[in-house]
Amino acid sequence: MAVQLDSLVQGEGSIVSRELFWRPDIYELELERIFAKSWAFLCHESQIPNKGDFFSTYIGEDSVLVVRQADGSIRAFLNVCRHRGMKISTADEGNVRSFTCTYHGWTFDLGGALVSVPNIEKSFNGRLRTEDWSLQPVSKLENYRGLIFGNFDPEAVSLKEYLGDMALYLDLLLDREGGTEVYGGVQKWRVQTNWKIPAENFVTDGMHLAPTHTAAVLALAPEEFDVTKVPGFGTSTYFTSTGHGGVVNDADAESQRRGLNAMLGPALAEYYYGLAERLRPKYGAMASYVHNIGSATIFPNFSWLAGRQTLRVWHPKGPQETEVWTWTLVNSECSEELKKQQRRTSVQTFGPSGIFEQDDAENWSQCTATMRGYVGRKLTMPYLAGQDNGDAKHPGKTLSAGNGGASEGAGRSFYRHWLQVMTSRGR
Amino acid sequence: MASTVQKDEALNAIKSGEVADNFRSAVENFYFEEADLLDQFRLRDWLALLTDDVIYRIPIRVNRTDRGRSVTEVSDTDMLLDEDKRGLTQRVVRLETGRAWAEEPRSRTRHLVTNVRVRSVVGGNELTVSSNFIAYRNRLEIEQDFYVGTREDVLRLDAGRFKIARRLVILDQTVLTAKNMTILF
Ligand code: FES
Ligand SMILES: [Fe+2]
Repeated sequence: MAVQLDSLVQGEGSIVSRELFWRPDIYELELERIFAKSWAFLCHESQIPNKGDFFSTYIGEDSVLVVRQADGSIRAFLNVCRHRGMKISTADEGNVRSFTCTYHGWTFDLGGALVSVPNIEKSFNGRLRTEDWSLQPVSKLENYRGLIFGNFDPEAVSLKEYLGDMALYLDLLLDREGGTEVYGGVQKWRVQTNWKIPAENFVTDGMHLAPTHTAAVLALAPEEFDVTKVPGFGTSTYFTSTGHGGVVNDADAESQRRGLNAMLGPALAEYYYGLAERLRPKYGAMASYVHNIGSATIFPNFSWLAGRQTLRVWHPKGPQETEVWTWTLVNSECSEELKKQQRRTSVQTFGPSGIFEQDDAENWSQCTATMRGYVGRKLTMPYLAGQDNGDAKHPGKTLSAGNGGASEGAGRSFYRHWLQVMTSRGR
Repeated sequence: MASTVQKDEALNAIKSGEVADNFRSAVENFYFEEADLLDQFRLRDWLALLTDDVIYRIPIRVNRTDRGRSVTEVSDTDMLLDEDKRGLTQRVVRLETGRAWAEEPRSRTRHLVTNVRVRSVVGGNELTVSSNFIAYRNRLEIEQDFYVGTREDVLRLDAGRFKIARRLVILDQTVLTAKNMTILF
């Protein structure tokens, strides 16, 4: 039975069926129409500095190797041997001269070309042309200020065009004197939830900050911190027409400063306030984004938190399972002490042991578990917040004001775009 | 408390290098008491078992290949958890708020500690000890997680009692299969 997608997202993204988060046939279509055709964040260039360094990741459920070449360039290909489909590398990362398949010993060079096949003359008698069996490349690869993105779709628009106005927010995350680097590895863990639930949380959900995270705020806050003014009660969202967007915190400047102080410690918080001043001539009022306690998602599944500078990918692992990968991004100009502090606070607050994210994972997995029931699965969910508030409280380009409450504007945009790509890209 | 050891006895044991068998049972008793506190969520009492300068870390493990050699690396910079006493206390405060949803209602946990080995004596009043553990977490209806690994501790004798001065928890997973880590090991 063909999937009837149109009826699942209604009212310009303001009413969404819970079937989106459960049905295996929808998930299969997502692998085809979203993940095989979208730009995906693969890794940071600092993770693979030397010739032969590689990092293993996924685009959708496709295993992908990102490899530093002899000439310093970066290439990426499917981690699938062209003979019988064994993984070319089972490591998470490492350094190699070439990739030799453990099954029948075919060897591929760093660029993915098949360079040797054991006993090739006797076995194949000229019928196997090695040039026909290179590793399948990721069709397009781009480096955006140190972040490596890949896309399997040879027809895909450029990353710049794909990002559109969202590039501004990525610039505010990455435009640093001396660049940025990943500090301290990749945390990986499984959450029993559909990938869109966390992606949506980061794109639009300011509404959950106070109710979900009160315990974490209370734990971090110094005694004098006024918990009735927990940052997050007022949030707006910004978004593009292509599903990207994020949450900006509308709390007054004083509360925000105290919030960032409690989360990052005074030294690092002050660094970000200083950084904002240095970025102000170039970015104007938007420079404050670097210390705003907000979140963002680039469609479909790459998210980050400004200030806290944790990057994450919500890897889909089936309709009800997500593998979360997080990186801590540090600014190269920072002292080793500040870098350590950035990493320490990002691990303390986010990640599997993070005092904020523990509770997110609990909510997301329970939201998914309730879709097991046939009746519960047929319900719809409202994304109505902030619909009447109008725009332009923040200086970002497209936004939906929270007006002191929360806005789900970027969520509506996320699901509008989801429907658009799911119905227009086809068979 | 069973983990109390006579200071002189302990110091003599350390000095004479007899840190193995009879000393191990005191360490084991200490660990069994500690596991019990964790399982009962008596976390303030657990905090009292830590020195003020405690460092508690859980590194990320990575499947690596280096020029053909495969290793599972335990990083000394990449962490799943990296706390001092203040951070650990904040975690306890968080649970005490009654609003830490990942532990409301509380999980049922069981910490099993085995393979205790006293490795060495450091500076006259510290022991390095390794132990293995399984921490089982059962939650709500049928949710269950196993956190399995090894611990490398530095135990310091403080007024005749052990306190944990360093703990390195090495889990046996590269991808955590649990949705979060709400408990400590
Ligand atoms: S599957 Fe790789 S060589 Fe046969
Ligand atoms: Fe959250």
